[in-house]
Amino acid sequence: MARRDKSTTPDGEAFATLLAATHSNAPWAFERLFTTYAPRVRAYLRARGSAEPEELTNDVFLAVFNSLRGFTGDEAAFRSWIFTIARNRLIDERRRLGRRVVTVSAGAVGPPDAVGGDVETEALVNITSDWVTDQLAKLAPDQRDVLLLRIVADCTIDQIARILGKRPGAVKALQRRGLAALRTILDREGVPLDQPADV
Amino acid sequence: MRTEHSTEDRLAAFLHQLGQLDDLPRPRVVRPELAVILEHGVPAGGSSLLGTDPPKPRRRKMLTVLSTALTTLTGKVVLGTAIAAAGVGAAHSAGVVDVPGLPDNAPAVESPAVDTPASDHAEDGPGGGASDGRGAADDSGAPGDPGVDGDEVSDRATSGEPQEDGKEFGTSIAEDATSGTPADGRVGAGAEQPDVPAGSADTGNEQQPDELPESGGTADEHIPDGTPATDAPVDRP
Repeated sequence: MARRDKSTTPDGEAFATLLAATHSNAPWAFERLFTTYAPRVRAYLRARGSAEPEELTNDVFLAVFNSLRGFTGDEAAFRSWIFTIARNRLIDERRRLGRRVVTVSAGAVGPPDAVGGDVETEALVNITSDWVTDQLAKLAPDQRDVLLLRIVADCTIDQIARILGKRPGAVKALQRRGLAALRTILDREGVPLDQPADV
Repeated sequence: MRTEHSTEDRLAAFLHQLGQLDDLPRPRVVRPELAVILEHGVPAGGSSLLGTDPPKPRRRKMLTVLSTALTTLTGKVVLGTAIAAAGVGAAHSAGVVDVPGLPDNAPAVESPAVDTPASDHAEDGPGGGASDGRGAADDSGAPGDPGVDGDEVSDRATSGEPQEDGKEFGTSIAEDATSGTPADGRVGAGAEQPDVPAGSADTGNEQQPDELPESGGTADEHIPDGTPATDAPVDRP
């Protein structure tokens, strides 16, 4: 995965311009930030077993937007901050639900309400994400956290260490063990990875 | 449609699909406060309580206050003084150092807290009027009566009367148990407790209904007024 420039969003937009627009309370800047980062946050929350990923994503961005006036930093710091809040809100949700870990797959929550999208493509994407989430659920929570933050959130090892409150060496070890566990799972399951795409 | 892949290919394909998870469409806006922000920006003073951090628990607030206080110079001075005072007090009580202002251990026995009337009575023995329940029971007896837990109990236990009653009772139980007569209650008791001493059998004897007349008028005293006694002769008109 190619690393992005720290000054641009995943959509290639200048982050400093967006941040300055939010400081001037421009609604389009909030809309752009939500459109850019909310799918990643929802994917992270859903893969981590959130019971209500859509609602929790809304809560995360409510907290982000209400505190955005005091934020200073580049795009990487902003991404790390968003996922720190997302992880904290996930922990709060689990405490609220009586410490029950509920893994909700994409198929269980129904198709997202995309307007004007290709239904067949959306169904295939949902099947794929459902299967990927199921495989991730077999990992240990810390390993799953590290892999999701590394790949979905595109965070560096140091950023993940700050988010999880661990040392970078511990994060590297978790990533290595998570990948090893994934190899074992994929070998044992024998599930063809190209099946969702070939349906 | 199963395709054989090597382990690394499977892992790479899996990670690629993991990276595509965020390709799903934008999440729905289900919070009205967020919809307001996306349309009009953040209102002055924040949007709602949902966006702010939840209130901290009371214990965490207290810990925060304590840790904040300890970061200041005053907090450190107060903590250091308290630790030093506790150390000096401990050394004084251990006898290592002598602090004039602090009381010694020896006069503490004569302190007013120890010299209470209840303590004096307690040290006087069972004949005195201690404040506990046993002392009150002792006061109700005749003067000089040592009470139920005095020597008389021991004398009674070693005297002949109750022991003989117990022997008779115990013998009858033993005889019933060995003779195979129908169970009448006492047989079972005797069979379950074959090692009951003779003196203790008297206690069980008091609970038998047949023994109530022997206890004198105590049973009649509990009969309410107007109720004819069963043993009293009935006067007929």
